[in-house]
Amino acid sequence: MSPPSESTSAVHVDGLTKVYRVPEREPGLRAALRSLVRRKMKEVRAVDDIRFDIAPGEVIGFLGPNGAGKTTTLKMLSGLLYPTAGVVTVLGHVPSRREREFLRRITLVMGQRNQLAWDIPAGDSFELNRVIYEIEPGQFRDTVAVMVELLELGDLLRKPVRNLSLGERMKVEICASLLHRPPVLFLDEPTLGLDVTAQRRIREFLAEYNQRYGSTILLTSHYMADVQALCRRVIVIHHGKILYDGDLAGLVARFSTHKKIVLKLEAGEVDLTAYGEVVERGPGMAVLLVPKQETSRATARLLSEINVIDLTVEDPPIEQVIEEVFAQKAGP
Amino acid sequence: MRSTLAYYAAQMRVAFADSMQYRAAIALQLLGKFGEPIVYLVVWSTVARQSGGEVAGFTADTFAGYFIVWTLVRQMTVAWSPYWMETRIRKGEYSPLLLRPVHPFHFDTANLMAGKWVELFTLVPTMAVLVLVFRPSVQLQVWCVLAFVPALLMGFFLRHVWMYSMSLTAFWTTRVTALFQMFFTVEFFLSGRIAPISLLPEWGQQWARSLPFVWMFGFPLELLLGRFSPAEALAGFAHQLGWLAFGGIVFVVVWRAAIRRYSAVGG
Repeated sequence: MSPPSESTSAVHVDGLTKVYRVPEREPGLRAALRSLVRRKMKEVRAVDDIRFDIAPGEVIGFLGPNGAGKTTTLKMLSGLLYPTAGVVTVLGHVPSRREREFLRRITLVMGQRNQLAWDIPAGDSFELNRVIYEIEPGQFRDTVAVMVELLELGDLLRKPVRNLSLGERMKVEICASLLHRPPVLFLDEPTLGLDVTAQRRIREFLAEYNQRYGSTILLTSHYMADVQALCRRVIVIHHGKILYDGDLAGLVARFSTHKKIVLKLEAGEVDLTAYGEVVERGPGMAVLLVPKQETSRATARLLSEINVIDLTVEDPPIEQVIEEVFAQKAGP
Repeated sequence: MRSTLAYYAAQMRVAFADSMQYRAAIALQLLGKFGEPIVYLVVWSTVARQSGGEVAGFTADTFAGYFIVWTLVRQMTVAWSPYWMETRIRKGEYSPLLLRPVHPFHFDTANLMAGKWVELFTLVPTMAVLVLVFRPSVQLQVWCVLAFVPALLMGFFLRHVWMYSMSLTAFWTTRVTALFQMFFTVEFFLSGRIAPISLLPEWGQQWARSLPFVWMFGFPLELLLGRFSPAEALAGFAHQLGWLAFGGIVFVVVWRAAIRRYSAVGG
């Protein structure tokens, strides 16, 4: 997978940096009084010299722990924040200029932030968005029909927003954000707080939306299931710096320090602690975690020393790998 | 321009529908607001009667007319509140508005204007009751009624633009209340709110005419009551336009700085 060049990119980021100046003081009355006279400021590098390009139609998972710089980056890409340094273009626009044409071509969905009027049916707010984004009535009707089907909205658009459940509201919110069919979507935790069914529904919808309209999607999520289902490429950010930019399989290969050995065993108790860390044990089965470089040796020993019916070697779950990446805190 | 008007129509429809959900609350709030003009009306009518029936050209009956129209002008010139801006910034509710290809000022203006239509449902009948109770002496002239409409609209926009510009200071300090208390205090005396401007001493009237407050409130009010000649009315419109243009420039300058500030610190 070769990275897109600047001229063909939907999103181009080069040397992007954001430094916040935040007040800092010790607790206590004396420090409070002192801060009245001399305010001590501290610089926080939320995003530190990052660069990447996203090709049109790509779906990228933007991963990192809380405070890594994900939301700050999304805000700079959508024009809500001025970068301290660096270059950003989205569809050829400089986001911080907040040109109308740019705002018509993007959307940013941020968690539970509400853009719908609370006390009236969402359908009324949709009509308002039709006027705001100057959507042709025919296209508007088609888009709403498609969304209602894909997101299984049913008659939700006729209920006052305040009467919708969290999952229903999020689906309607996403629908409202996409009525103008933006070619670029920035999604900040779109499935946060939703139950498993609602998460799956939104994931399927985003995949379908991407297929249908060829839109570019940059998605942050704490749920690896979102990332695995939607993104071939992931960008991992930590302390404002990019730790990894590549495909999901590569991330596992590069950062996982262990392999998982799944065993089917003949009946009877066997002590497996000498072969690796036993993470799961059941009747006739066991799962071991072994350091990557010792996998072959451990496998050979298991096959020769105990009665194994079946043995498979797997990569550990992606969540675990990501945790390891953040724990390592190392540069690429 | 056409798209902006279409936006106003659509936003007002949504805001109107939204406000209708709270019509009982709006009616109660409005009723609460009638206390203030009734107090002024009773006080000034008493003063007029004890001063030989007239104060600065106002009798008890014309005072009644003044303070009944006062309720309409007061409600129609209610403008953007600093407290809303403070809350919006503190809760990070500004970002969704900034992501729309429409200026947030239009969003707030359309919402305010829609709210006024809802308020008229309770305002007009209540004014009718006040007319029956206080029997005002008002001789409405056609040209004054016609001129009142744009004067009232300008009064609203004038107040809205200035208050909005001031509320933008919330981007620097999330406590803008002190600034507004100062605004309201000066406005209280120099806009025609506590009493008609002609009741002020000459120097006070000069101050009032050289500041924007009277053009937001007292001018449309007294215009409807027929207290101005056509020439004075035209001069009043010129003052309104001048202050509106000045307010517009201040708004643009403050907005640019405010949005830069917001973008620097995050939403």
